[in-house]
Amino acid sequence: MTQAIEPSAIPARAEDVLATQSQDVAVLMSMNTGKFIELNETARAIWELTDGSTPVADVVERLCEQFEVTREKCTGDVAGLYARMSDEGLIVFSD
Amino acid sequence: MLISAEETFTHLQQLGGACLNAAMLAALDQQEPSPASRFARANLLRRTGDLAGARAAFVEWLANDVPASEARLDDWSAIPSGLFSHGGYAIAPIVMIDDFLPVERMRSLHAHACERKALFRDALATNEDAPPAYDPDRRRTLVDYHFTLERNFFLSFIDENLAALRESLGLSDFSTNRVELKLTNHVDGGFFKTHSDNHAAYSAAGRAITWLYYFGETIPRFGGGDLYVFDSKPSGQAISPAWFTRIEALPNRLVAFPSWFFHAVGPTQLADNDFSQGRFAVSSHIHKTQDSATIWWDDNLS
Repeated sequence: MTQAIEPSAIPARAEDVLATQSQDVAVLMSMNTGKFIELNETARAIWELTDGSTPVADVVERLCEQFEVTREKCTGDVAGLYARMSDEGLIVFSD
Repeated sequence: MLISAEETFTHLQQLGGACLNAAMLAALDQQEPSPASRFARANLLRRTGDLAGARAAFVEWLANDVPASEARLDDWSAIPSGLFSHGGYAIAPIVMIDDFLPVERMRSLHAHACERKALFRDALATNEDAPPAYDPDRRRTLVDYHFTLERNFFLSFIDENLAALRESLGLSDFSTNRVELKLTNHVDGGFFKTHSDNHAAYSAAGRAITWLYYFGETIPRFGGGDLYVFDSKPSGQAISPAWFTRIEALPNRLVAFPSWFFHAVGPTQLADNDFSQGRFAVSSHIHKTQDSATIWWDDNLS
């Protein structure tokens, strides 16, 4: 079930995730669930910042520096993607 | 076709896509081998339809990681019995025998089916508790219940090999009370949406083994028509959202699985819609009598 994501939460890649590039699209798959998720450019940048030590708020901060996007929109996009990744078993959170 | 069925087949094509799964297998190769990666390899391979590769991967996984497993893998097993994928879904054990008949006998059966073209009828489909009816949104299959050639051979084969089939599929000893046997053909647009052949408890009387023998031209002219057998929770009527075994309907191939598992037949494409070039199969259900037996997939109910 999707839950609200706190800015202080620290997302980490789940151990069973496979990441690959197929036909110019980055794709993640959980070895357990077998589900795929395709990443666009922004999602890929978020994934690259998902290192198990960077809080969500810092991910937003760095994306705002990297892309021309408002903080509000960026916060929403990051929260939405992390929620989906969490649902698909691709990331885990620690506080 | 129902939108839900179209969406299912699109989803299955994406999940079973050779390119994407090959990329995932390559990503697995970059990892240190582990129980999880060996099991994932077997699952990715069966999802793409590489059952020989999946079998080898399961053999390796069982030998390395679960030597005490009761999972069975004999000469007929493409997928062993007694296994579960993520979420507690039972993986459907699959028997697969290629080159089942001498080619000449397969050709004769094909000729026999083509001669009976006028006797094929639209198959009926069931929906919830409604009586069976022709429903092209759910199923487009042509059937002939009264073919004669090789009928006795198939019945004898079942009779003589039922114990081995049961063993390969992880089914307990049961008494058979009848065998359904028919010819089917999927021409252009043919399909069968996701369903199971038995919704009842294992102990109840009903269909127990579903088997198919695909036949036709040595090099088929139709496209599609793959059989998808889903990881399932038969007792809970639930289907894994992402794990399944894909089986190509290759001529002279026999396939069998427990009738309780959900399965579907993908759409067939046949450019000139020539009946004789369709996706032919002998399609059969072996019925069991009521008993008090239990079954391995009910041990993992959650």
